[in-house]
Amino acid sequence: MPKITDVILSPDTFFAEKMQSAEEIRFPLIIVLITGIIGAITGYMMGELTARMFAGVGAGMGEIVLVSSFAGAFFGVLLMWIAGTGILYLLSMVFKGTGGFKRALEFIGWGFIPQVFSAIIGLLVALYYFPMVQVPVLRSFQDPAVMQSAINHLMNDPSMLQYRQISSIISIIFILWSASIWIFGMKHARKLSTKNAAIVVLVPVLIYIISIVYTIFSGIPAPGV
Amino acid sequence: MKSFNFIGLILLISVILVFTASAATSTSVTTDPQTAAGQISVTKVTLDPEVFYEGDKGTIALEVTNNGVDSVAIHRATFYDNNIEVVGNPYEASTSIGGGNKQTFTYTVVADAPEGIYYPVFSISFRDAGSLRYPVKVQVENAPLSVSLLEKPDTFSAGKKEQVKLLIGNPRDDSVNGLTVTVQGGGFDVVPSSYFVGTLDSDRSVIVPFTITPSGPGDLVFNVNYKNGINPHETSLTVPVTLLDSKKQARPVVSNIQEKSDPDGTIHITGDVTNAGLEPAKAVIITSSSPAVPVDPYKSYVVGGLEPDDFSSFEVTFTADNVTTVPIQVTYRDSDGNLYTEISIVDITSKIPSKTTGSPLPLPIIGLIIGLAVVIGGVIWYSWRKR
Repeated sequence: MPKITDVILSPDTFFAEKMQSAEEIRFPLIIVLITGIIGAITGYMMGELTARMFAGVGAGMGEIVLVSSFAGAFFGVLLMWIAGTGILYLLSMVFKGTGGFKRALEFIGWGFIPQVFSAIIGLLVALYYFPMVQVPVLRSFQDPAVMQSAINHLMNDPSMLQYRQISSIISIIFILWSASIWIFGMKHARKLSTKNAAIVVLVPVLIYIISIVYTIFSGIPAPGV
Repeated sequence: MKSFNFIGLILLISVILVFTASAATSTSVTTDPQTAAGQISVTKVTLDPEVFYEGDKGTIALEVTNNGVDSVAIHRATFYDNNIEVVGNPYEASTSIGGGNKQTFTYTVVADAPEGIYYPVFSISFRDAGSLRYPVKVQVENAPLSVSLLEKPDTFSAGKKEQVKLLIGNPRDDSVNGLTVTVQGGGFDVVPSSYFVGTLDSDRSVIVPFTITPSGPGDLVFNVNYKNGINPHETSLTVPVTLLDSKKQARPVVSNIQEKSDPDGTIHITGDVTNAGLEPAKAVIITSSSPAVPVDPYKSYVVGGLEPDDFSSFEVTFTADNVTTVPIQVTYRDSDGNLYTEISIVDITSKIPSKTTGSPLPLPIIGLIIGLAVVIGGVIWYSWRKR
């Protein structure tokens, strides 16, 4: 039975040993759920800011924003796990990878361990910066241009801007760590060479990183950041 | 005795009648034709028109009176001149004018002669005597009516009503009739479309007002049509219409601009708007325009009317992204309802939150991130080395 620390320190060995036992999705699911819950808390805090922006519009709007932010962040992580595995699974077919989807899902789930740390640090950063954000208050839904302008003001608030920059950098660092684990996961789950597994994993991950970097410079908020 | 008296009375009456008849016979015999013709004279001359233009057609009527008691036989009456053309000669046949009667001889003439004074001759030939010659003064003058611009604005502005006044004078020695002023040309609306004056006597003038509302540049042509007798004549005056800003029009000027911004990003601009023109500005409305987005509570600020040199304070609210200046738009109307727009650019650099450049990250955070990157880099390096 491999130790959990091996996922971090020796993922190649960890997944090689895991391949000897039956597929076990429970622990990876727990890891993903923990990531989702922490991310949802951050999402809830972000939703609270947005709800304050809509407070002047009318009763009920704030609650809708809060629930949708929480649920969006939580299910976003689950979707990222399943859809991400699907993308990697399909890409590995280019290199004639073999092995079931469930095994790939299990190993990619193990690779979410760094994302737990990322979510925790992201939450701490949010707790530090969000109270300093000045939230614009919308008075009406009549004019879309006014709404867009208010959202832009929220996203370009100095505190919000710093939060987004820090969380983006942290997200990049931890996604690279996860990618490192996912390479070994895909290598064993889909029986690929290390080089091919690296290509399969790094292509989508680099696209994701580029999108985050673009977000920082363009000012458009990216999903999950 | 009684019978003698009656016979005597009849004889007396007879004698009286014989003497009376004898006296009458002796009188008619003494009036000769020369004497009778001498009683004929021209008592009235009427010219229509009184003064001709060169080429005008008209009539000359001569009233002839027989001041005697005997009828005078006329062989023929003629009217002639080398310069003034007489159309036809309707009095060639013999006629007579009874004692104490009048007869009018009317001739149609055409003044085919240059400016000047002419004396065509009216002549009556008597059957039993000589003739009567009577020169008639006919004046030919080509001076047209004078048309001058009495009043017009310094500049025309599109859509703005302006009054134009013409002074029409008659320098001729006769009156003209049927005087009408019409306006020709495009690019403007004229009220009234024409102006009827009627008769304009000699050395008199009349003022004709028009209201012009131009929509574009062009020439305003005033045609003055009139008749001299039965002859139509025309003179005109052209006024070029060039559209420029009126020198007197209202001119709202925005000043004393103060800015402040709310935490929600709403920018407030307050200031004064002063009418620096010479005419009142009506329905003055102030708002911000693109790229600014006007928002409540002062999307637009209605100042209302502003008299010359009058001012009013205003406030507008808007949001704006990625801009350093915002146009403040002042719209107003003149007394004719024409809409005007003035734009003032306001600098709001200090009031717009920066979009992409926040304050730099604090050093501890940078240190923490670097540390985190180093640790994770080490873990990744270790995990790859250990495989």
